[in-house]
Amino acid sequence: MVLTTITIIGTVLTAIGTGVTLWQASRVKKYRKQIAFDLRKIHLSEIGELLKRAQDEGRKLLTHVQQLNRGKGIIKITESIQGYIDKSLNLLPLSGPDTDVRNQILSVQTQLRDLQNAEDDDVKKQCVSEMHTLIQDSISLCKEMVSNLEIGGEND
Amino acid sequence: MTDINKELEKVKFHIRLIGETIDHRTYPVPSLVIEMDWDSDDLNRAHDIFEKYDTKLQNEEEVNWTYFESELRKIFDIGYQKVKSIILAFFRNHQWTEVCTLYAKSHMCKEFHEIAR
Repeated sequence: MVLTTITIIGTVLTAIGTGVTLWQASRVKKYRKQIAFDLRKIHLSEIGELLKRAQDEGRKLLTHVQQLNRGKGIIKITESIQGYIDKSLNLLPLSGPDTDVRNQILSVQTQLRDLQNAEDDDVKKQCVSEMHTLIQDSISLCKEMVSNLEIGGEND
Repeated sequence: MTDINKELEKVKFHIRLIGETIDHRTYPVPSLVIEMDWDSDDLNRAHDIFEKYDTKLQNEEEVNWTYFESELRKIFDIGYQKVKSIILAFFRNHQWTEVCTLYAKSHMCKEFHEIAR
């Protein structure tokens, strides 16, 4: 009788222990999901800031008056923009929900390459202007995605 | 005074007034051009001097910053304060930044802190 009682108590305790373990596992899973969600939001915000700095650098080349461009270190400026693009891309996975942002930033990079390879001043002006628009679109996309995440409140 | 001269004086007066409204931090070189009453050739002459010293730096030649300042003063018939304005304007417009930085470091003053920091 005593042995049976002990066995029942043992079984009940084991069941409770299993329940607690499962409950803790589900909480850990929830926390991990929350951390991934927060990290994604932080990374998108950070990318937005990096792109704003890239835009500030690009703005230095926006003028169409030749004398206001003379003496500007175009190589230094484009290298600086490339630095911000690299940092932004490093924060984004190759695939996943933020592929649109990644592709948008890659378009900025393509435009930057065109600018670096351009020799004609008119082509350069065109590249600078288009790059500025693409960076602006990327910043807006980041803001929109962060805003959607905040409204949605969960990781897509 | 003829009508054309009167009109010209009026336009110059208006431009001076517009010059007062330009934010010299956002548009440093346009603001400088109006302040100095420069034409396009004057601005090019200033660029030529900066380019000359920039080339010296690229070629790793020794640069005498007193000569650089003297050249600016002589060509534009200006004093040290105006030279400072030119340096600050080009630096703020991201033009000839290395020349501006090295000149500022050799002639340190309160206004140049933003360049030399």
